[in-house]
Amino acid sequence: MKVQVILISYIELNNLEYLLHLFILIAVYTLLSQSLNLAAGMTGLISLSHAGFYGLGAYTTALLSVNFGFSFWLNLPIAMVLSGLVAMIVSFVALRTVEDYFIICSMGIQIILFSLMNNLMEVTRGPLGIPGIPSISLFGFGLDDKIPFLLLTFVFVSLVWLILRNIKNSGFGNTLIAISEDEIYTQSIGKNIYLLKVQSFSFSAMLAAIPGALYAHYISYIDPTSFTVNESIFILSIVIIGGMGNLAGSFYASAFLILLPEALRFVGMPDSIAANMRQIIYGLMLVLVIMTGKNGFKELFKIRSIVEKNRNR
Amino acid sequence: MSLSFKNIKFGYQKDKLLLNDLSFDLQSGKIYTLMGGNGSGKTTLFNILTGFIKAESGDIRWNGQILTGLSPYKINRLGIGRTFQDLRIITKLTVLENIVLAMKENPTDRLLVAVLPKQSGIKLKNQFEQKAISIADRFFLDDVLNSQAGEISYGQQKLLTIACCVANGSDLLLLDEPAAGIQPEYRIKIGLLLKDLKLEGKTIFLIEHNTDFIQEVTDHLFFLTEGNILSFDTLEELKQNPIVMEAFF
Amino acid sequence: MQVEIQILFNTSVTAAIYLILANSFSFIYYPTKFFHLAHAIVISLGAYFVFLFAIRFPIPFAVSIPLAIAVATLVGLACEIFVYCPMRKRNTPPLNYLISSLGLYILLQNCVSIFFGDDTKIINTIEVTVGHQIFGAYITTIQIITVFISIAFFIAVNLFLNFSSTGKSIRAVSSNPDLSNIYGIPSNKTILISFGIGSSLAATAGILSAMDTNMSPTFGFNLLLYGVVAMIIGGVGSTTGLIAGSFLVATAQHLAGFYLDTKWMDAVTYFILILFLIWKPLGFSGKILKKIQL
Repeated sequence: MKVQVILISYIELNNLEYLLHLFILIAVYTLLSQSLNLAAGMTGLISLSHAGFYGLGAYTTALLSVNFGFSFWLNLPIAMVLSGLVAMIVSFVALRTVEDYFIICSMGIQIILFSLMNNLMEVTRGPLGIPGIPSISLFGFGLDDKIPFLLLTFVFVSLVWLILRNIKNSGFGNTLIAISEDEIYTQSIGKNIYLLKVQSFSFSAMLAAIPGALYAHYISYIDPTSFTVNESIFILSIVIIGGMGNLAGSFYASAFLILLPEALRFVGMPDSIAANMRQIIYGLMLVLVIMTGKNGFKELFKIRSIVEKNRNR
Repeated sequence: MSLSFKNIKFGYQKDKLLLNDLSFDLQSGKIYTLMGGNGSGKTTLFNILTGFIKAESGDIRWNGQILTGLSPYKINRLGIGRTFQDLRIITKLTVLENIVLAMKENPTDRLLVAVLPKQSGIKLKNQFEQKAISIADRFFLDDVLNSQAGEISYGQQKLLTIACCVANGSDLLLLDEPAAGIQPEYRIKIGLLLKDLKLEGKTIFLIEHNTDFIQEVTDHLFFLTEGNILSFDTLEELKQNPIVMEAFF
Repeated sequence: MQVEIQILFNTSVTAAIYLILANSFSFIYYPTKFFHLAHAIVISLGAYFVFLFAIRFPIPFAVSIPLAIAVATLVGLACEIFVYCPMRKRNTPPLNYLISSLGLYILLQNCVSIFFGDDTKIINTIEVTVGHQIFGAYITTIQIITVFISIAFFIAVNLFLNFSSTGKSIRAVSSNPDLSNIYGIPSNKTILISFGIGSSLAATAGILSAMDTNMSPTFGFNLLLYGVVAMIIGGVGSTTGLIAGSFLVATAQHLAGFYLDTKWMDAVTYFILILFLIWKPLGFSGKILKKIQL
């Protein structure tokens, strides 16, 4: 998020380049929130470690391309497999805890992952970050420009969206929904819920490596501040505001929360407050959605419109 | 198929045993009923059998295999299905999806198949849905097939839990109060369905209070009181037993 | 020898702060059974209001500290009155409380950021930051005060819970809210009281910690998480467990700081937490928290 704020101050508004930059960010957050939606939305594993796996993907890609000159197309599968493996090992232990304790445990995992990125100086250069990550090239053409890069992210968003939609409509997806609603019943019809949770959590983390790799190659410089607990809370908020299990909702919520500071700046709010104001607004939306027990921000309006209709009568 | 309980002991409190040294057997292709007062441990017995609670001692053998210590999903995969006293269905899914969910060996239950485009599994999926629809028809759920399971009536939800248990394909069905709290016409329908299932070779073990319903379907009765189990062939026999009379009145 | 004594001193002071935090957090956790993470902002607010009252407009410390605690407590109470209480009336699932408290935390923390700025601040008062040399190791007045306040609070809280009628009703609500309602103990009012006491303890801990080191709008969150870790390790529902938990966390952190590097303190803390959650999920005390509902 910090990188984004710095970028905003350097690039002028009303600039096409900047608009494209926002679209790319929306794509990155759509990928992040939709992948978390698999674990949190469908399976009910409210995880606060997603930014950690996002960072794991970004750091794997960055280190491989800077130190060994690997291309993006090789980095991506390695990052995904690594992120998935770490998530699997971690989930074997984290999934022994339930409910609130799982959230605290996942937060602990997030803090440990962040701590490794921030303090393992010899490998990650700590707070100095990793500069000079080359841009992606495809069939010998460099994707330095924003338009081809945006097209590439668009391809990834569609692919992930399609995969997650397939999962949602499959027996596997229905079993995950069943786990989130009633673990005891799901066990009683012969489902190994522990294994299914591990699969869901690991696959979700695996997909989180995709935006990580894209982000690293796009921004060409990464540092640990992009992968903090607050970032995890932000991604979780997108999922909840968009609606649990609602993939399109995650996309709309990402777009809304990325464009919100721009809108605030447009109405004349100073830069320093706009960033905080966005967090205040999403904090407020999160509280409202949860307090009213609705599934996503959209449903808040649904009820209100019904109330209004009744009043008009 | 055979199921035998041997010396099952269980108690929530140390000094007072809820189930005291229970031993009995069930045979294939019959309908058994378990009766007893409130808090006599009927549901606890089901929970022990399906692995949700661990007994203090004793074993349960199912086709020669010891079930004690297995996790609930493994016990189910061996062919023991159950319903719960409080209706447990997945309210976020439709009636049809609930039935398909309970079916075993659905290929899209695997993550690797699930990520693929739908077309690849469409034939199999249809096959499963057809089977689910026929089960739904049998349980009078055909007109609410695509409704959310949370939005259908209580009686229909009750039918759905039994439908799911049948779709699960188990040989032994444990039904916790299938006829409680529903209209008489549904009760008769459920009674007929259970008899049909018996003819198909399923073994059914009921917990039930409704004497008309029991009279209609059951082949054998058990009565659980003060941690002991009594066995009867007919309801009349049970009613005349002095211990039962004491427990009920 | 000198180094060991210094580590011992530092550990005790840290443990004292964690003990107050664990105490304040568990005060709210027992009757409500959820993790009130917005508690973090009450910790920060206590310190920030002292900064506002005592440094910005010079009100003497003797007045501004109680005032700051009172205002911060009001914020804690507002969370309960405007958010959690309506949620309880709607019967929302237990997990939602934690998520809404996260939202509240984000909301309030950014309000603090806008109002006071994101930079690190210190509450500098010469009288309390003077170092004393004992056995060759240094300890400041505020650190000594911290240890004594922590012990005093711990004793007071235990006496309150065991002997006062309000304390007894808090324990009754903790063990069974529905049943206590039937017996005429109003659970909502009791929960409100525990929010009040918990919040004021937390604000005090925040002030003590900020006076000892420094503060930023997010410092409460880190402190709170250490308190939560201490509570989980100590075993929820056990008062003596809290002392053990606080000491274990503080010792682990200071030893990690000394032998590895201070930067690994966080990672070590959470590593211990995860180990506990796996192998001893009930903490030292071993009391059972939730039974599987069948």
